Amino acid sequence: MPSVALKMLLGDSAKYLALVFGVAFATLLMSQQVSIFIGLMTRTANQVLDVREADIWVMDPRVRYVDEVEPLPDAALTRVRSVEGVEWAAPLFKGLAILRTRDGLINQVSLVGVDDETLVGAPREWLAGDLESLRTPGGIVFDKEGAQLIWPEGDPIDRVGLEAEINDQRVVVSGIADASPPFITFPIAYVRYSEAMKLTPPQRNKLSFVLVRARDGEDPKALAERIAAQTGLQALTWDQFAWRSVQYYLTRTGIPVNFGITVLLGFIVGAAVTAQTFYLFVIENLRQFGALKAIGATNRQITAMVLLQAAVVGVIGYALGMGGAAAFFTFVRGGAALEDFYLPWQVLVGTGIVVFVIILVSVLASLLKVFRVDPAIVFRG
Amino acid sequence: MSAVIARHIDMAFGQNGLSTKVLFDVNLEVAQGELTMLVGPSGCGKTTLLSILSGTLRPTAGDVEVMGNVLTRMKDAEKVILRRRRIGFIFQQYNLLPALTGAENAAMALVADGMPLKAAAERARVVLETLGMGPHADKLPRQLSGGQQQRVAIARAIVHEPDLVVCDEPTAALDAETGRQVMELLKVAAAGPGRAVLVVTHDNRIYRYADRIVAMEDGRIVGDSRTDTLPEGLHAH
Repeated sequence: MPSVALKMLLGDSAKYLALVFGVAFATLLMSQQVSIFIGLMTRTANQVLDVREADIWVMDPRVRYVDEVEPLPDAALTRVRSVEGVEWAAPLFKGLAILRTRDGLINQVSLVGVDDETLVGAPREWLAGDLESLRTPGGIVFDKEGAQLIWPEGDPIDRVGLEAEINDQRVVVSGIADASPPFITFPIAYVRYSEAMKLTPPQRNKLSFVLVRARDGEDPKALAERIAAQTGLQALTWDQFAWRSVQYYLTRTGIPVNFGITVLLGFIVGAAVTAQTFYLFVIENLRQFGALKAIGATNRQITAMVLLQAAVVGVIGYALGMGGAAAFFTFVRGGAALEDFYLPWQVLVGTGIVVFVIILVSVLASLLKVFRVDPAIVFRG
Repeated sequence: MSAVIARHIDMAFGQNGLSTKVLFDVNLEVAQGELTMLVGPSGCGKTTLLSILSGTLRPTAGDVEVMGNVLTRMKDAEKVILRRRRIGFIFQQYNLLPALTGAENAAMALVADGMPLKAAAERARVVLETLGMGPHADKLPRQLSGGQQQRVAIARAIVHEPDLVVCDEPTAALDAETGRQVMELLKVAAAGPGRAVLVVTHDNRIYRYADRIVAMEDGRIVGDSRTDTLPEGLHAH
């Protein structure tokens, strides 16, 4: 009977293609939208995720996400260093600055000042220059997208050596980093902490974060709690802070709702197309199933036939949909808008489960009809 | 020996006081080796009786025995196996699977019984040859004429060598000449010493192929050529 089931399915190529298209469309829409959503939300935490040396981020208790800065007094750094279990602690400046190019164009940039000695907080992948580029006097390093945004013509790596001004002070591009794109679209400019202090207007407190490495064998979570208790500051492990940044955007913006609606629509449209087409496919074959039952096919045999047809449609449709989604991300990966977006394996699994449920529901609905069909139906002209 | 024995069959459709009775105390025996025709006007209950006698419909009352098996005492699963192995079906609308070739369609009873499609189709091809359908065995139903499709249906009904072949209006969708050819094939190929053929029809052009004619009217058997009690109009045939 399996070969009969496959012939029945493949024999009607128009319906077969409609079924496969329905599943592929639902798979593509859901996996692509969920992946873009995950990529977008990951961007909100990229600046935390890129700092791989630090176990803990210490900040003002009012800070809710990485792009929100409440300056700390310089003394916070030494207080954190004095906590038992801290291997090292380094300052990090994060703020906005105005950059003026030599041809007079003005751009707002996200200025990141990293520890002068250890350069903790600096990017680790480079397109031009290297970590030492940050030690160049007056040197400033841009992320690739930022450099492209400020100087749109040509290759960003050719920007090394260009001069500009930040808050009316001269800087020289000394490197181009391959940093993960942030959620906000401002270019990221990296300098040493001491340079950041010079480039930004004077104010009483400028320290944004203290980055902490726990001693070997020290539980970062316990250390974070100890730092918070002893300093009165907010101390979060890197993953806690990253997740908190994601949560901020999840709860404070309309992004999840918008993507949720798109994913839901994808689910509904895909489910409707797939379920209805498959249901109609079975219903239109009801008389044939009735004939098979009259001839002596059992409900179990017919169930196996319908399940096999559903499995073939599901697997091929899912594979095509996922292939389409993978091709989409491969294609757009190079562009700035969706750079580094990818298809997480969890999306593959999750979409597979959803597609399985859609098909299962449509199969069960149609099987009910098949079970109820009276073999005597074939005697009615 | 009787292939089919029906005793005191009643059948009603519907429930909760809204039921309509369509068969009234029907008693019938169909002998092996005979082509029996169940005839009568549309709506007289002959197709319902055929469905009951072939085990696809359960009667409201009465007993049916097919080749010694009492259908009314059998479980559904047992009836499925009985139908699969001992009964062949020919339908008015052929009911061929459009995606299967003639040989594959003819093989369906064997496939339902567990034989691989390829092997079953080879066996069905032999039967199709005897029906003059050899050159058309690999064609899809849409490539066949009505008469050719009905021949495939005959092959499907006899490929597993059943004891009973039931036919529902086998010539209703065919022109006179094709209907005649189909009936001749049915008479030659289906009817045999150990096999009973039961044909429901109201096509009086094919009455002459019957060994016995049973007439029905309003849910009752009103005449039988064996007892010479056929209504007047049927005697002419």
